[in-house]
Amino acid sequence: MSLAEKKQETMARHPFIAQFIDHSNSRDADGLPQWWSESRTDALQRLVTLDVPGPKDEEWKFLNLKSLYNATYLSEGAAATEADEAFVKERSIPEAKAATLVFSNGRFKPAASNVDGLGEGVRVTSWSELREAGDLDAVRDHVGIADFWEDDLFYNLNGANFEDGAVILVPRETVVEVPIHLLYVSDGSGERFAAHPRNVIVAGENAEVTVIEEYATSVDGEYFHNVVDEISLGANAEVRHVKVQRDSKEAQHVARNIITLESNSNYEATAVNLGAAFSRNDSYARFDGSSIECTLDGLVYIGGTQVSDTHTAIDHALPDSTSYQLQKVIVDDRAHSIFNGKIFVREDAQRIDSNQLNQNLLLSRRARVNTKPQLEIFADDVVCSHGATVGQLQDDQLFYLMTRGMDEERARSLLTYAFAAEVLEDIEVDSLRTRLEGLLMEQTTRN
Amino acid sequence: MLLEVKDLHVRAGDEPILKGVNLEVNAGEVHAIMGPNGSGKSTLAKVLAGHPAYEVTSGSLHFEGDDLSELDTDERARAGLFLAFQYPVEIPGVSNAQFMRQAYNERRKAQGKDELDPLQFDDHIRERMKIVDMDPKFLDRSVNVDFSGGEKKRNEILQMAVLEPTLAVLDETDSGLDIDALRTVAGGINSLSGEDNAVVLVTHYQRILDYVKPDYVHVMTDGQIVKSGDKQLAIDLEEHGYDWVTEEQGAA
Repeated sequence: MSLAEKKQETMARHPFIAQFIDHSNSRDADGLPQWWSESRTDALQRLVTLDVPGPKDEEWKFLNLKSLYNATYLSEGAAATEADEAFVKERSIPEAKAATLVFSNGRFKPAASNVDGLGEGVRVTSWSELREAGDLDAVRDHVGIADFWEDDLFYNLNGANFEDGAVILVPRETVVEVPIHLLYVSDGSGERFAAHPRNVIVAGENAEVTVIEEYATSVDGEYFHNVVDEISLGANAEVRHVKVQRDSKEAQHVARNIITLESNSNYEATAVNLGAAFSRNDSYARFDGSSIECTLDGLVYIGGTQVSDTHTAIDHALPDSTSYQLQKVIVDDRAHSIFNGKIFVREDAQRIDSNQLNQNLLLSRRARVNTKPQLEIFADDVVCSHGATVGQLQDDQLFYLMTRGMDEERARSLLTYAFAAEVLEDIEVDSLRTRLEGLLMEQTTRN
Repeated sequence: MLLEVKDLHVRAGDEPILKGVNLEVNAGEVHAIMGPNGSGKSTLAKVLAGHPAYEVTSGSLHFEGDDLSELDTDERARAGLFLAFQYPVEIPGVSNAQFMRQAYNERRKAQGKDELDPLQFDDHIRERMKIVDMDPKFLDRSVNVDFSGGEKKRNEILQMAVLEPTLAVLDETDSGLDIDALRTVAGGINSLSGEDNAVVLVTHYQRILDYVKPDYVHVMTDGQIVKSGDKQLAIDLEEHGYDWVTEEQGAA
């Protein structure tokens, strides 16, 4: 069967996939290096064989994605806008003044961005800028390096369509002193669009860098962010990664994060998911060495009819590593949160220390939580703990606060804030932490 | 009069617990309410604070002339009524300093005074901590989390020192304290009681009354105050036990 015939078949099976095959085919292939063309073709080949995942698939249980699948989208190139200057200014992070990449509806905006004096050899740029400069080979070795999502629809939609996103390359023995801020601003006032950012973060041996990846909306509306992050840490490298997802509450946000870790490296991630009608955030951490430390923390705070789904997989292949995971979830109104945390400890991975805790707070009777911590251990000398709790605010705590003069609303707000704040405590960028704490306080007070 | 309790009947669920309590407390007074376990003395303390588990079925409670049944727990607190808990509640994620500043500012607002910002409050609370001999390191810790029993009780008295209530009801604040901690806590209570406020000590043992001298001692059994007197009553109780009062009641 020819590709065109297969596309016909896919079209009949699912127009959601077919439209993104169309988007891909209409993209400019001029001057694309061969490796990129090939990876795009690979993704297209797989797309024609895939179906949209649904409730029958174990990894997609509990979800109803009709509103995502039944919509049609403009390609992000057709929805280009300039970033709202005042909005960018408002969201700027003082510490990252010298290292901010701004994207508007998925496209890099050099005029709104600023990268200055980050040290020799440090590249903080975008795919579009590298392409213009004919310098794409700089990123070649760091793309498509983990095949965990080879059969995943969204990973392949991104593979067939991505044209832009951040590229951060920190050479060996280099410490980037300031945090790097990736600000994805979306304007949802136009026709519904889909963007497929591909962010690449590479820290060489002994390198250190902090990246803040933020999704924000200047004008609410329906759009679809389909993100892939590829993050590689060389031996003894350190990467701190804070993701803040505040997409429009009418938008859809799907993200795949692939992290590969070499010996003695340390990856510390905090994912804060507040926005989007539906968000799905998956992380896969592969341990390619020993004595690695990996932290995947998360905070989800949703209300209304929002749905948020977090899937993580920490894959211990070799000995002497540590992983931590604290996932806190607050669900209000009729919102629904899903969590699945997999931890694999392979046969050769002895002396692993792995901690996982998922705590859920339900603020309303109609709020819903599904949680599934999942340990799969094939080694015998390991220390692993995992747990999940689902609860409401405690009456005795409320009473205690009220006997100290706080009214019930204030007491509820303070307890909700306290539940969530633990996840934010470890964020080292002061202004970001303060801002997120303020946001949290505001949200707890509003409810 | 600060507090007036008249023929108070209270139940928890279907079970009657207080069966006609009468009590009057004036400014400048220290009252001790003593009684065996299950006599209802802790229930009385909680009912004064408006605990939702208890229902007042008849009788009345007035604080500075106001009908307490019309005030929620937080309104009672802002009006100057304070309850020190027998089992102080742990609140992970809220620092002691943040908690006390909010409580303090709620009271200040109710009094029509200016709120204190974190820096001003820090000075204020460090001063107050001396009263209960508490280490300032407890300011940064989550409220009562990983506090020893004695530290929790000191923390309650610290809150009393910060909030300066008109009426402080201390529910078995002495229980579980070693002698040094008891002295410190009692010293704190003494230094905080004055002519304009009053203290009601709910206690099982006479021990704390060696340090905090009550003007009145009341004995509670089976949901009623069955005997009142001066501090000699506490000494008699210590000598003869609660059975003595019960028997005396039975004989009467």
